[in-house]
Amino acid sequence: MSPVLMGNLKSEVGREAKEQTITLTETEMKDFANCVKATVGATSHSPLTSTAIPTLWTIFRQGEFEIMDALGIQLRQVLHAEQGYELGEPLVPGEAIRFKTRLASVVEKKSKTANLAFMAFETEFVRVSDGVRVATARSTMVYRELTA
Amino acid sequence: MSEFSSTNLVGFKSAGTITLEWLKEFARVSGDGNPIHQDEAIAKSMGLPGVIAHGMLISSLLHSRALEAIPEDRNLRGFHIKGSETRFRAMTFLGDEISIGGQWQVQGSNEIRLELQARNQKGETNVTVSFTLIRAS
Repeated sequence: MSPVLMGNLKSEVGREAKEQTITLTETEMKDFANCVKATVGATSHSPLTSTAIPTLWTIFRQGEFEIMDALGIQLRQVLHAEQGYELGEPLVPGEAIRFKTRLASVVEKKSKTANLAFMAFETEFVRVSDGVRVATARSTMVYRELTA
Repeated sequence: MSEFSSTNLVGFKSAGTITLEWLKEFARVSGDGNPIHQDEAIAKSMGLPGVIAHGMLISSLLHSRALEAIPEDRNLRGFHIKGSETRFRAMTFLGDEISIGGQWQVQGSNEIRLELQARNQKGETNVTVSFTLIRAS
């Protein structure tokens, strides 16, 4: 990515990814839980009734990837700095979730070896069946443009 | 914020050793195909010392420890996670042995702040998560 684009990232604040709807299967949720060593059946709301550990929402990051791709940023150029979740309801297998991601802010800095852009993304998750907001995810990704 | 008391500790437990196979599996189940988590040459081309673990894998291990700790501690039983804030403070590398523990403190009649950290075998803190727990309604 050119330095010109790095300098222009702030003008992209507010850019939105296309709205998507995804339904996770029980197998997908169990595979995730097993990989991250969640107690089988663990959930943010009830330890014994589903497999929805809070970070399961990381599966729905397509919007972040879409925005970065549109800006000419490759995944290999970014590191994860922060991740926040506000949780309403736990994910349930087979439940359709609609979500949209937007670039909420950009802060540019310089280090000894790279120009850095801290890009904050916000994603709202809504349950399709009743329109209830079930979670919000906020992530800060650091785009690094190596200079040394 | 008041000091944590010694009785509010969540003991450190091993969460495993980071392997390439584990990172590939996390890439599969999470959909995060960033090659710096799987390909050493690409990681080095990006100025990194080598393959690094997905931050969200370590964050997820911290969330799993929280879900384990809540029912174990009678003071935390009946609470659930309302929110969490993860900070990725240092990179986690292949071969790193991760252990997770921390402490909690009452914030009000219905809220608890649970702070967990992931450490490597050198005792360095790589990732921290601050959880907001509220009493289940």
